[in-house]
Amino acid sequence: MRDYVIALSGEAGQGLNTIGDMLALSLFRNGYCIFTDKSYHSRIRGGEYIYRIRVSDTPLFSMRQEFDLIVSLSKSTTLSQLEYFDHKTTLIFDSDSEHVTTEEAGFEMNVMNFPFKTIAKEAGEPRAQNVVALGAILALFKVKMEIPSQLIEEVFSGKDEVIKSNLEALERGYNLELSLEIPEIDANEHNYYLVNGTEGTGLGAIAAGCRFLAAYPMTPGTGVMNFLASRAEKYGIVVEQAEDEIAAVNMVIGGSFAGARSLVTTSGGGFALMQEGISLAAMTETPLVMVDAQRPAPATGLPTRTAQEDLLFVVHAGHGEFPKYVVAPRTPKDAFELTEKAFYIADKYQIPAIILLTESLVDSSATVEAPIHKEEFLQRFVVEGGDQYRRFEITENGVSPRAIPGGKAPVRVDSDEHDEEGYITENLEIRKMMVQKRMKKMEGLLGELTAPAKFNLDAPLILIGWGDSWGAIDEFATGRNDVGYVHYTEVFPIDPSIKQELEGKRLVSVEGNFTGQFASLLRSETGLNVEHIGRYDGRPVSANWIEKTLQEEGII
Amino acid sequence: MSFLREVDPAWCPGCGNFPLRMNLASTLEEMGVDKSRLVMVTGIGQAAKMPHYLDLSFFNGLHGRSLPVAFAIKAVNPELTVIAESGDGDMYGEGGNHFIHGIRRNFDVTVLIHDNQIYGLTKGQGSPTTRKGQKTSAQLQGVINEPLNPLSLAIAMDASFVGRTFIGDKDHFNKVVSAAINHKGFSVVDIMQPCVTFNKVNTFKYYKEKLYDVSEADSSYDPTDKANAFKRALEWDDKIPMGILFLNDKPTYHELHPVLKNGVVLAKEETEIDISAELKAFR
Repeated sequence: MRDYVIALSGEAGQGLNTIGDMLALSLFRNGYCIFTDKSYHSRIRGGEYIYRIRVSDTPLFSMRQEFDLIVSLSKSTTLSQLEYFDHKTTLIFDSDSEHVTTEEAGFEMNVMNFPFKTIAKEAGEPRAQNVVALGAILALFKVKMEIPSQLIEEVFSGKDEVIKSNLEALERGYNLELSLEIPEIDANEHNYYLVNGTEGTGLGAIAAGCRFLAAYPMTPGTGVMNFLASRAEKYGIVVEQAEDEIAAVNMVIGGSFAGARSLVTTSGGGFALMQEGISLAAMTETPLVMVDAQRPAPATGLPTRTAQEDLLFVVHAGHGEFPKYVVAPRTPKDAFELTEKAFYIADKYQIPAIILLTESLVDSSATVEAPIHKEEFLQRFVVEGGDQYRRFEITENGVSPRAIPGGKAPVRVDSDEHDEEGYITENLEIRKMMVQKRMKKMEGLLGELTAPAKFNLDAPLILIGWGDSWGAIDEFATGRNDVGYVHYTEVFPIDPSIKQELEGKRLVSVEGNFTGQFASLLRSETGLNVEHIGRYDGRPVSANWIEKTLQEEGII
Repeated sequence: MSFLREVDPAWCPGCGNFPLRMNLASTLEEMGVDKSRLVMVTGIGQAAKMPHYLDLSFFNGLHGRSLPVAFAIKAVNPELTVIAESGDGDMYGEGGNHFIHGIRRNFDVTVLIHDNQIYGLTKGQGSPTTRKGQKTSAQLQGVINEPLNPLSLAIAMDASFVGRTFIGDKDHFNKVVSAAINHKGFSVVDIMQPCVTFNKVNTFKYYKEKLYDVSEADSSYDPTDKANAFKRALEWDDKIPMGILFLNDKPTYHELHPVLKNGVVLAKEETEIDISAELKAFR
């Protein structure tokens, strides 16, 4: 495996996102495998914005923190990124601007500078300095110029003058011929897709037939709402921006009750406001699908950074006892497939299903195989109802026949404890039967789970992981023979049979939190002894971080 | 078709909810509302128990949250007649934010608020509409907050239909509530009723003496005159206005919504969805 990491750095508002997307997509369409991530402040202008692109010959799912090339549009962001420089890192900046000196850096940097602004001006568009840099980098990777040219025409569609000057700037960038050595990375024709976690989740929701979404905007969960809004008319989806998260979750429960596949999206703080709604869905046995895109907490925390801090909160969400299903996708492809499955499980068992994402997953584009769309996941398990219809009929598997209002039978549901017909009751025998009926669904749910990913279980040290840490764990473990791993995407419920396979091994859970939440969960569900290492600085775990931390802890 | 369920309601003897239930059932029956297309959505409180004592489909959800649920039911299935019903504490207190934004959405729903100006189920605390100075189980020296005026609030926000009625006047109740159900858009009906157990101020007699119908008092009353409607809505101490105070004929949420205005059905079960064309954009 050969790889190369490019960082574009500057301030928010300097167009780095647009240029980063164009760079990533051009490299991808030229046959490279791409993984991107973004590091930014919670502001619209200024601050720092780092868009990193990892180029490789096989798909990778985590970022290498140390970059090979950094194109910096601002001196202050270069300074903030110095810790990620190594001896090979090359810094490119505009030669007409003041930049970091060797004294300021404290080491000798490999510097390559060009008058980007002047070149852009000569091309007829002073704002196209980014496009000059884009051309220069793409030329290094021998990317056919027609690929970025087409993207420029799409981005500036309808503005002929702007297209013309940007194409000129691109060509001038290509002609700069940077004398930089880059590793030989194979670029082949491929059938991959370049998708981020937001898009994967949104596409999965569309594929699952989601027709109603309610949400209150909250970073980093907002992307899924915006994604569905951008396709709402095409697919006939109602996307409603609620007045608050409490309204959002109650709307989605109402939409689901009335018969539409419905989705609510949020982040940790908003999810906290939805607790009573989760409990309502459980009591009324209304399918509820939720997205919680995690960011570091408590409270407002770090809005634009990543964490895996909500696991135990989500697993225990809502007051009272009831079954639920929680998934944490590894990759954007997983996000698609598990979103579809979450809708299916929510409908089949009439329970809350929660899709636990992270900022790093939703904001990172990865090279993935085609997501697998399963039409059987479209099954709704809705019945017609008739004369003797009872919404909460006691059944063997705990799942009662679900009809929707407007049909043959009246549908009555209540947040109070209720009898089989849905009427409020204080009969404690009925109460007991209803608790047992609801909890009975856990048995069926366990049978729906797929096994976690397993690698090299003969090794003495087994890493445990969940969610989007898989790319980093896999990259670390496949590079050596003394480490194996077990990695989960369906994080609740957990099949306790894993205990037989792991007993007697040293188990270390790698997590994006301080307390080792998955280690606790696995311990409580299986009785296994699990240690943990945790990253809680707002950054995603990486292969290098895992290696360094395991060494520091004396584990390897 | 009767809308009454044979059951013994769990309300205090003499509760205003009893006549309200009878009035509502007879209104629905007289209107010939299609029971199979009717859904009642309620929150929590004595008022919110109403659908358990009627024969219809219902969603009895959380305290204060009837309107978001009602909104989504109507969005997903526009063929349903949706009634949201709860008390003053539920709709104006816990659910106050949803009340405001429900008015903004102007989805087609009838909102019936049992307004007895006190908390019943939690035993006599002040509600958002309890008058200043009234002593309650939690405000022992008297309420010091200004009461919320639901009608002037709704009129100020250009609500589509704003009315008030009284459980003690069956014909008036029938007239106002049936007009609200027939009205397309967000229809607010504030229903005055006594709480015989916890509110010794706003009694049946109190309402009977003070309530008057705006159209009966003034045959030229124009409910589309916002300024006049607002002025009437502010009346309280000597005389309390009721009737259809304000009408604002405007497009509903469905009529304006880019997806719903085309009659798209959201509750459909699909057997096939082709996502390949959408995925292609990510190649």
